[in-house]
Amino acid sequence: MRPGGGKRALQMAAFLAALLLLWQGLAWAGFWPRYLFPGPRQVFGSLWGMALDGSLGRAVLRSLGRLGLGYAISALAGTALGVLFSRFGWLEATLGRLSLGLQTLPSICWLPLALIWFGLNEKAILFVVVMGSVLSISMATESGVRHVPPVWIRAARTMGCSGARLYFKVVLPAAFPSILTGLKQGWSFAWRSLMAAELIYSTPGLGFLLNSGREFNDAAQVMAVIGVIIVLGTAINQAVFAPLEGRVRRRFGLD
Amino acid sequence: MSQGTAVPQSGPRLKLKGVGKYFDHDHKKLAVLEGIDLEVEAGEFCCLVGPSGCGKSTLLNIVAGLEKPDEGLVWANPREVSGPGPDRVVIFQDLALFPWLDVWDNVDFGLKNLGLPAGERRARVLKYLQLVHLQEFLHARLHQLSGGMRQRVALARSLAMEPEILLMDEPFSALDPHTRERLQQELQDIWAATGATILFVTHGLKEAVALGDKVVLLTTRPGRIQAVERVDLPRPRSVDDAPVLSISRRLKAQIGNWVDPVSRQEERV
Repeated sequence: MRPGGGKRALQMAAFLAALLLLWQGLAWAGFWPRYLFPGPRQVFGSLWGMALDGSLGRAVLRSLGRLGLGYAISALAGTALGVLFSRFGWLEATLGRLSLGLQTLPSICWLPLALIWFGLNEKAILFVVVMGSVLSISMATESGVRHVPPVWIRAARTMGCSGARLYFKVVLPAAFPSILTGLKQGWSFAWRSLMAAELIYSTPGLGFLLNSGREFNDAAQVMAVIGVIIVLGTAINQAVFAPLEGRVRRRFGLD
Repeated sequence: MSQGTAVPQSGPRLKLKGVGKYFDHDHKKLAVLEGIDLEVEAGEFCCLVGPSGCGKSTLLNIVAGLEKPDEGLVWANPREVSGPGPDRVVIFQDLALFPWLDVWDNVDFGLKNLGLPAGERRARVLKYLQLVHLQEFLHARLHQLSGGMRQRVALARSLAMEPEILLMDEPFSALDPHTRERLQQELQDIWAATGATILFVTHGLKEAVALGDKVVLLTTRPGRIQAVERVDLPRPRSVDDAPVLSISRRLKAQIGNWVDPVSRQEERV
């Protein structure tokens, strides 16, 4: 941990406590009816209820399962596609350019098409998640591979390294800092795409819990689920990407 | 003594005949190198020295097989050079060590490419890391090492492959003077211990005289060989030895004023 990390954590804890107090104060003040603006007690109560009856656990598992599968496909396909882009100029000039355009399309726009193609099932959601994240991973991989310092490749070639071995032992590890940036961005796109898709197409998952909260006019449940989504996202970021990035930055002498 | 580096052979280990290299510049053919004839004997320490932009690094890359000459032929060990190969390993100016690997795996990298058995690889990695005095840092990460230590890793990585020819492209120019001098001493020890054939590129005249059996002086644009000087002083030598200084001075007077601002600065150091 950085020097001053303990102090930072203390600051954050104090800030969260103050926020909680403010929220409770606003709820007590009663500017808005309770069913529109629930206080901490209602929201945590709702969270507790969902945790006890197992609906929260099931939703989290379903959503993370979809995320894991969709993201794994994206990470593999995106990296492979990125390597192909960097290897074949004509592919980058055509499909690469096209995917830059496709990236401007919010991935949830793929859902109607996905529903027509795959029907009302998991494949449709998976399609949206993959389309939302695969291109950012492939673009980052392509740029990372293109910017590998040529001297590493020259050095490897003079040491008798060539062909596929050169790719796996030198080019990809050398491009890894950029690939990791793409993977992180791709992960957050996948997470957003998944939530959007689950919201629109009702199927068990966190998006569905949000939606059912709306249907029962249960603002406390909606707020509780939003909190869970934020905490999950932050936790995955802190547990997976932050340490990886730190390690890569140190090794490559970027810190 | 390593097998790969010291096999005596009839004829020169490296031979260049009429090598020329041109670049297109505004539709004009610009000569970088012209009519380079050079022979380096087995076990010889040959220094190529010249001002910045004289094409000495290009010449080294041609020998390495990383660039193709537009004219002339290059033979090494004793085949004609058609591409890079592990018989001619390069130590680059910015080292080109791999930061995703630790010290050991950097040295092991080339050995894996050679397809050596694990036991042999282990023995060689250890031997050459000991040779460059890094036995305490076998599994250190590169970012934990100083510039001079990284230079030693690069040296060990290349030596471990036991190449017929070691190509060094201004390897010490980024180091502080003190570290540079230590590594110049160590390189002479290593050269004596391994019997390697070395082609060493530098823009420091004194460094070339201190290290080389043979000093090849290049002119700039086009890069041509201006003079070849044999240096038969006893070793180990240092850039501060009086005979080294006097030879350097004589060569400098002989070749006139090609010394560019960068190397003039270095000469003062």
